[in-house]
Amino acid sequence: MLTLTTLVFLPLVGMLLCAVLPSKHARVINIATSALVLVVAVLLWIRMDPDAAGYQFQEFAAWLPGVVSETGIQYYVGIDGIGMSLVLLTAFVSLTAAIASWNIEKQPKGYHMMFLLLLTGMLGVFVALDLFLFYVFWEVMLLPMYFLIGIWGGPRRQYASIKFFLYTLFGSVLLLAGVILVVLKTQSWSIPEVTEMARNAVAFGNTGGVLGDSALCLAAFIGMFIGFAVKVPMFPFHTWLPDAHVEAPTPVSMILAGVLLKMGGYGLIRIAYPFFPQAAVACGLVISILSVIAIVYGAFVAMAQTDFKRLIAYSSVSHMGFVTLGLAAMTAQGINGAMYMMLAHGTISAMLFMIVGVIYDRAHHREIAKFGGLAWVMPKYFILASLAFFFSLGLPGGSGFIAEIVTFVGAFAGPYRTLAIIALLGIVITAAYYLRTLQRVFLLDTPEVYKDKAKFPDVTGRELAVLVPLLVVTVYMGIVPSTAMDLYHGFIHETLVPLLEQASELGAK
Amino acid sequence: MSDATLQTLCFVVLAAPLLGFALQYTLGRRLAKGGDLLTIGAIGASLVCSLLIAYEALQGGAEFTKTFGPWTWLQVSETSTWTIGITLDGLTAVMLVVVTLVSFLVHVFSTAYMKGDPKYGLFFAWLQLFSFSMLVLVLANNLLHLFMGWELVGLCSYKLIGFWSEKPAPCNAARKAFITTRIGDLGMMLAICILGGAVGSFEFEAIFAAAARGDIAEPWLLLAGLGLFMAAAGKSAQLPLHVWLPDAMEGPTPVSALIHAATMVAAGVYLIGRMAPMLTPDVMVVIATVGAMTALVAGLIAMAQNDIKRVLAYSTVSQLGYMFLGLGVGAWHAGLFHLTTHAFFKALMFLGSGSVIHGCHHEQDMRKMGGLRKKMPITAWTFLIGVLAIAGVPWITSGFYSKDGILSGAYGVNPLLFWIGLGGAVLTAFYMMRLYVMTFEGEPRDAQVHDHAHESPKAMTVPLIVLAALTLIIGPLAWHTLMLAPPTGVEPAALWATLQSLEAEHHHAGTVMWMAIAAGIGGLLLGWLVFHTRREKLAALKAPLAPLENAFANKFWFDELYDAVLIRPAYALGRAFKVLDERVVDGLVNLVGRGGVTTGDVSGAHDRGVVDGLVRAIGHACQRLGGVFSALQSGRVRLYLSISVGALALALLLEHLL
Repeated sequence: MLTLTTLVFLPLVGMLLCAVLPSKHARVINIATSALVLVVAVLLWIRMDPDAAGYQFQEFAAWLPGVVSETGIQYYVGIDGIGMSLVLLTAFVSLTAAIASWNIEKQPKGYHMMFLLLLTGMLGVFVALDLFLFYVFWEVMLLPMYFLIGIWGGPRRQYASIKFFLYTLFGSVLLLAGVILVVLKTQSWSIPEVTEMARNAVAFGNTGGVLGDSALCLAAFIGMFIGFAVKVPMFPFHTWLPDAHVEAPTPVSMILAGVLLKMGGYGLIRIAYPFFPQAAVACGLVISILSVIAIVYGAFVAMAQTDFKRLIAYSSVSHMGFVTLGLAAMTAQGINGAMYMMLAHGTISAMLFMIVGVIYDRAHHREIAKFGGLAWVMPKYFILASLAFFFSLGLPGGSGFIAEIVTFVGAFAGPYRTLAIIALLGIVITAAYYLRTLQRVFLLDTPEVYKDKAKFPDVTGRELAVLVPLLVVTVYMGIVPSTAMDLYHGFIHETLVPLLEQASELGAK
Repeated sequence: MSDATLQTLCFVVLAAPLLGFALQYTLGRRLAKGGDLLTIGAIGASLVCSLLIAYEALQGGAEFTKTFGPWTWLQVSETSTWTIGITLDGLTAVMLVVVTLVSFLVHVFSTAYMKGDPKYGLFFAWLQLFSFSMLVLVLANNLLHLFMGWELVGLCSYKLIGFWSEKPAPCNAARKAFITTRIGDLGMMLAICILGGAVGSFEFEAIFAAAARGDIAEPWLLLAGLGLFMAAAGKSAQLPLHVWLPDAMEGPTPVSALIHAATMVAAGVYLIGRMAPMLTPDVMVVIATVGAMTALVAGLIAMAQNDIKRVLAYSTVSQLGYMFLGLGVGAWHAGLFHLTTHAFFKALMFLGSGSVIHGCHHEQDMRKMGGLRKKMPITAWTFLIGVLAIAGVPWITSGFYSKDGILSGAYGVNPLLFWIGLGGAVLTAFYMMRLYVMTFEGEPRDAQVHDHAHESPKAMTVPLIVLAALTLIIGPLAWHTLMLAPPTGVEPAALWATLQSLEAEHHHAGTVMWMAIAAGIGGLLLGWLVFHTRREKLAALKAPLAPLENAFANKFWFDELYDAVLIRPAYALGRAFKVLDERVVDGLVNLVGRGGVTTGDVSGAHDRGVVDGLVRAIGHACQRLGGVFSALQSGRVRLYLSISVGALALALLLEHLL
């Protein structure tokens, strides 16, 4: 029973239960299912062989044989450390988001069904090893997200949801075009197989081979890259994110920032970079420049925001810039840091969006300028918010510190040193906007409105149940980074970095 | 003492305040007396262990260096493993004692000073976390590990400066401190990036070895050194990053004594001292120059301040400048020795000012004081010892030994730096005498303040007495402990010679010594005359000097300058980028949307023959979906659909072509 299939389709069982049972049970089913998913994920993690190379828990089933190749499209899943760390993140953040969904009152049945469908889509993306299956999961995740924002969102939810849907669809289509090109050239739908072909292509200096150095490959890479970059989201494809976040309900924002954005980074690490290492090398400078813009410009734009949630959304743009910056450096530390930033940002951003949600539930607005002195009325909330802010700005003891340092060292070791130095500026601006927000929201005088203890109670037990686990994992990852790093380093060290290094050498010739 | 025992002692040194913080933060409010005894006990345990370690270091002699660990922390690549570990040598031992001793006394002092504060217990919790972080910094055997302590003391400094965060001034000061030091930290990050790449490890020994072997290319080694100094300048408030320290005086006075005089601000000096073996001569020149300039400029500003704590703050900036001057000219021991002596006499004076402020019911303006010696004799006499020490009164005070060492070092390297340093020494003595006279001597200037003034309770005066005693005796003691640790690579031979005979060095630089003595005593006498005995007669000089005084009083307009060229432009840039993001980046998205709708409308009918049936079917489906969407909202929808359809068509066409 302990298989990836169980893991991925468990939420669908929960979804069916939600459908047939009365809607008052929906939220319990959601939490129970999410918890079960986390348990399964952890059990799989424990059973995983840490020393084995390649994918484990592989499952194959014929699906559409004969399409393009003889085996055709398969149901093919498997997992390695990269996938496992993100599956764990997904299951964990989803459970906290499920708890945070407790008081969704509007059509709870539909909400929790969509939530669980989303969970299946996300888990599927991280375990699919067949390109078609990957694409299917990728799209499966899109629909529930569209509804979650479009139905349960804020006042401008329709604009935001359509923008989200179409923007990511635009990305998906480019991704699909890339996938089709890959499949037609390689005659294979299997991600490991195509990676192997790419490895052979660079290993033998076969620049004109199946996946060599051709204009077509470059085009396919760029298409895929943009497809994934929209999800990251990378400057200049980021403008859907603030709108989506501002309108999305709190738990959906947590998922969106905590997990969905990671799919872009995952796609780059798992597909775009290994498939087209030479194109990746060729595009390195552009990607680095865009990443640095995302980091610095994102931080500046965050500083100018007046809406609390929009500010956090832009901080996501800024922090996710580290992911692409580390990747584009193509060094072991850089990619390591990029991966770590994804995991760190996963829990920290979920925490930040929950922090915003807590006060929005009470005040029904998010205008930073209208807040003040909340620390004196909600002291526990203040402590949690300060910790989230400081960990997000890279305080040692939190996972963000490790992620930033490793990424910077990695980026600096790569070919674009100057850009890495410019990116350092981001950490000052980040400190500036977080401390300014902390002061304007939590310190100084408390306006009369917020002194009403009944309307502004301190964080409740349920909110603590969301925030504290996220905090604990953030601190754990900040103090014992090796747990996660040792889990995922295999693919980076054994496959991706050698591939990119050889591609760089070929490029140099 | 065995290594295992020493290692255990180090762990206790670290664990006690950390545990103290954890307990105090969570349970402090429920403990008797707000938990202050618990925290005093914790830091006391740390102090005892530190003293044992220092004793062992003294016994161990010049070769005393121990490393515990390194323990693997994370493996970032196959060739690069990052570790944590502890290093113990003479320098660490001295720093341990300085940190735990001052912290202990500040804890005791605070039980009286902070009495009645609603956040009394929390105050002690943060003092504990600060002490822990500072000890992490000091014990680290590698740069990354040190950097973690470095950032954590920054957090504690932020929290403690802004301890009274209901008021705007402490909030702004705390934020300014954090962000200014973070600008400095960019340099540290740069150094970490350079060294992490070139060395693959952050352990001091590995870095020094790599630097000595020439593994780090020359420009990058220079840059790493400058980066480290940039970080040090931020933390230790050197020009041009000094602006945060005077504002940090918004924090409670015990915090100013502990963090912003004795320990954290000295971390930058410690960093440079620790990393000295990898610093190139060019970096040394920069360090010495910046240090000397800071010593002078801060001294000038201090002359015209009227807030007792601000005078002390600028004096701290100035004295830190001396320490950097010492390090920069190669007087490694003298620079770090000045760190030690300064820690005690400046903590003494800050706590003394705290006693004055407490006794005068939170009055900090010296213009309202005067004649307080009779009211608070212990505070006055101990404060006077501090004044004499900072002025460098010969033989009896510790400040004499350290400052003289720095000036001798500068004399041998660069006469200009020496003269700047000597000028600064006159200023130091002068403004310190001004402070002392304005506060304690002469006639009371504000009857109300004076009438209600009283000597502080024992919890405050006893730490003052202890610090005063230390100020007098620490000179020879710390000098010898520090001497145990000539770090490899810092021209050990030359420095060892200075150790061999303090007297000999004085003999060599006899002239320098007499000049330093003259500067200190002269400054004191001048201050005494100008502000006390000849006050009335010299009043005529006030008018012609007014422009100068204005410049000093306004701190040379650094804050105004930064506000105009950095802070406002940064916010303006943020707002501009926000508009850019909304109008241009997102506007383009919307424009593409609108364009897509139009194109779709025009070409929809026309293209039907071109694209095959499948596409048409999908197109229809999409259009229907689009209809649903446009019913929901705007017309932008169809444009995206057109793009989608187009791309899909492209892909399928490519399939045909291939």
